[in-house]
Amino acid sequence: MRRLFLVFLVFASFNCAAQCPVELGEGRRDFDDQEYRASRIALARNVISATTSRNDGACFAAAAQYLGKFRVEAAIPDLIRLITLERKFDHPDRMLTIADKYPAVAGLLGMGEAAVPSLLDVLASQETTSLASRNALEALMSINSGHEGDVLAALSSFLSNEKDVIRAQRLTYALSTVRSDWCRRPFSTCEKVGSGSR
Amino acid sequence: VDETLRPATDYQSQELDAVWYMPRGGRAKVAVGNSSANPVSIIISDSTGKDRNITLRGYETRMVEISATGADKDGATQSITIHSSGEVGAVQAIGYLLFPEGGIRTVRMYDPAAMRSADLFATNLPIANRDVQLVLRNVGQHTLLARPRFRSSSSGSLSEGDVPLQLAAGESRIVDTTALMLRAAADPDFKAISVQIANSNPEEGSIIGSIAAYDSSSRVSFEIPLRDRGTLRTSAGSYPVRLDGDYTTIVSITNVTEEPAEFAGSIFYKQGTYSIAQRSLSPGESAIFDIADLRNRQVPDGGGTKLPSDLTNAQFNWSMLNGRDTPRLIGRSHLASPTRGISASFSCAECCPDSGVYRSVAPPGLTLTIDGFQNFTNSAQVVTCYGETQNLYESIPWNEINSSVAYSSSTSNNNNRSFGVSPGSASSYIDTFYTEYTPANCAFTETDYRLEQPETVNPTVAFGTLAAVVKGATTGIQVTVTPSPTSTPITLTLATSTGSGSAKFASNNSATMTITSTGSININGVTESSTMGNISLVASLNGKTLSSTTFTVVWVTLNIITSGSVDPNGDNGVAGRYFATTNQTTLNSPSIAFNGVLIQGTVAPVNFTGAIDLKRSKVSYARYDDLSNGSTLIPGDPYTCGNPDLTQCAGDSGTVNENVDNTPSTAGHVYDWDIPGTTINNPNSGDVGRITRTRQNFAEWASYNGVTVSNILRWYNRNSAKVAQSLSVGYESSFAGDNQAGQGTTSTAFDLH
Repeated sequence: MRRLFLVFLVFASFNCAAQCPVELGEGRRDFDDQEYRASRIALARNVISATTSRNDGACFAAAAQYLGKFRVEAAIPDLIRLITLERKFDHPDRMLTIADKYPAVAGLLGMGEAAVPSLLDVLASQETTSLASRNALEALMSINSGHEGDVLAALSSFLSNEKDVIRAQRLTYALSTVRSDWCRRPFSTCEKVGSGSR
Repeated sequence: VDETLRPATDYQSQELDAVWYMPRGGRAKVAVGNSSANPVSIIISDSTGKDRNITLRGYETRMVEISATGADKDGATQSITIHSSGEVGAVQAIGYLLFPEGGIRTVRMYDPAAMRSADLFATNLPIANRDVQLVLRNVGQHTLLARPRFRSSSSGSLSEGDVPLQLAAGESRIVDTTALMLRAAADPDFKAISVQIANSNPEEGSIIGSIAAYDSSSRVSFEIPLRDRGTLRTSAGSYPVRLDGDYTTIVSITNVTEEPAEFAGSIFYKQGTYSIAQRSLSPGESAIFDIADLRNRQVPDGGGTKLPSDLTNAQFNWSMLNGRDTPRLIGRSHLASPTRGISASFSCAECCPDSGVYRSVAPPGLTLTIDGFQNFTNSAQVVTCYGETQNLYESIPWNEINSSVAYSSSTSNNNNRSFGVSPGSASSYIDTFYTEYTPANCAFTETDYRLEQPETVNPTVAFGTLAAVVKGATTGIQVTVTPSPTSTPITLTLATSTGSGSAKFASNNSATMTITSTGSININGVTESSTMGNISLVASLNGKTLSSTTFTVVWVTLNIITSGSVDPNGDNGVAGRYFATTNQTTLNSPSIAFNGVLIQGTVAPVNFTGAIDLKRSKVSYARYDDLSNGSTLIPGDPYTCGNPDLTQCAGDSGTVNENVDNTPSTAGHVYDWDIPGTTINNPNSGDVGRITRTRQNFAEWASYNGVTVSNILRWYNRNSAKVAQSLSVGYESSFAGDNQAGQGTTSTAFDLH
């Protein structure tokens, strides 16, 4: 009860509208108890799919992170659909990252490579300047942080199989953006392909 | 006179031929019968060149005297050929020869078109103290060379001095057997022989012959068929057995191929069945069975059965085994009674060779204990073409799958013992096949199969998955014991295989414990591993390993870095994300009023590959915001976690792949970066002089599968920002020590007191 109370306090600090069914973070039981984990995954998926829950940014973020942590790939379509859903902070106490601002991105980052095909599809299907496309590229680069060369390879492969001219143009733009921007950044490893696990 | 009853289907033409040895003064008669209802015309041609024409009414048999040729003291050959106008097989014939001194001998007729080999064979002719009289006739169209080969029936050894004999088409000749008889006189091994007439003409049925051993004192002829290899039907036989009085019955079976051939058989009698063990004969070798001897010496068969000591009548059955579609054996039974002056030969065929061998084990599937054993039986059966099942007795040369777990060996015919060595699954097997013949036409199929005896040796132990145990923490591993419970305690042992590191069982704080049933075993990590997977968990029983697994005792050491590069070791996989957020590569003052903080975890062992998440919680914080001195708490603040377990305080962990690199680098590093602080975004004139402050106390720890795998690192951050007259936002530094982050804790008071 005490833990729930504390959680409630945290939600209150983020102006949560209702009690979140998913506790923030994961504990040992989530790893050891499959039934418990399955029940928490079900709750997290309910949070992601229920419109009202999305009003509670902290709850939505917790659910997305939980699904990402346990790589619930079935949730990827929901997370992709909500990739532009922004979480509001009244008094942010840190410099916010893309994953802080867009909880669905945090969930997709946890999915790792499993999310890459869906993210590539967002790049192909959304306008290049759209928030969805920008967030998808950020997520793609974040999943491959330290392995930017893999993004180039994945984009090139996806592009070579793309028959639709418009989609191909968008992918070409993304490829160009990675080369001209991301590959020139510090810590970028565009020459590095196929190493490490993400 | 001895002649086999033969169905019409045994014949393939309307011609019958015979050749025989004719002593001077001998006479020969042939009985010619019409087995059909219709009259048939017959032409009989003999050695003199004269033909005689006769007509037989339906079912009529007539005796025909064959004209004698001019035989000298060494005798002569005599032959006839019978042509009929009837249907194939309608006319059959048998003859006999009368010796001038007395005595009689069978004259056998052959249908050359029905013969299934060019060579001729005979089995087990008793020649000791007898004259061997062998005549051959070329009934083919071409000159041929015939090479008689005589082998000992008992040993299979070959008599030397076989001389080829040239025969022109239609020619008949007596074979000189002087050398053979000398060998028989000198060598007890040659009391009886088997005969092969090797024919240079490959045409089947191009030669016929007659062989007999003549005892001049008793005037008894031992005449046996000299015949072709025959069909599949003749690679099996069924003969009467008489043992009453001084009757003897001797069965001989000879391999007439150039390859080994197998057979098995049974003796059926009123009270039971005596099994003739499966046996392989080398080329030319004969197997001889003296049934009276088997009875008198009470020789047990493979199953221990003995022939009744008073046995007088029985039936001997035998069949080729595993011979596929090639006739490989000929057999004959010689039944004799000296006091009655009877000598009879039988070579009755079966409808087809036996089908089989069908093998099985009982019980199928054994459960053994370590160092224990269990007996089981194997059965081997054949089925005759008449549907009768016969048992074979055999010792199986078992092959093994996983002999380190269990193995089997034959203890006696059809009896085996399987031994358990160590826990697990194993199998004893032989790859074999069975042959099946269709009774109607002896069409055969062959099916490979594996005779297998699966073995399970208990108890078995299976460990669940356990990659790592955290130092100072308890982790369970599922141990499955089969059967559970087991009667004998199983010892579990923890040991360090290499380097350093240790773990103990939570239940007794020891490196050993015993279990008897399935359950979860808790293990405490004591000291961290020096290399991955160097702690072994072994289950053993009586010194034998039942199962084993390895794991790692893992630990992470944390330190905080607040200045310099965000990638101090060049292995921070999320350093790029820090740059993406701050547009700078150093931790120092990324923006007003924020502090870059990098938490670095060093994993022990450094080669550990499991995911290590660096987690963070807020222990206490207070945020202030006003237009005077920044002492006014914002609504909802302050927060203080009352839980002494700081991992249970308000979650504030960064996002994996964004803030957190949870894959240990080759140096064992994992990272978490954060940029705590406060600011005033887009200030306007109403914000001039506004001060915002944040005072934060964090707890940071490493987590492996939800278990804390490090000490708790306490760190703090405090920042203050103020809007200047120019609406720019700058640091507010009224209080010493503000605007910094570091290890330890901070006061959450606005003035840091």
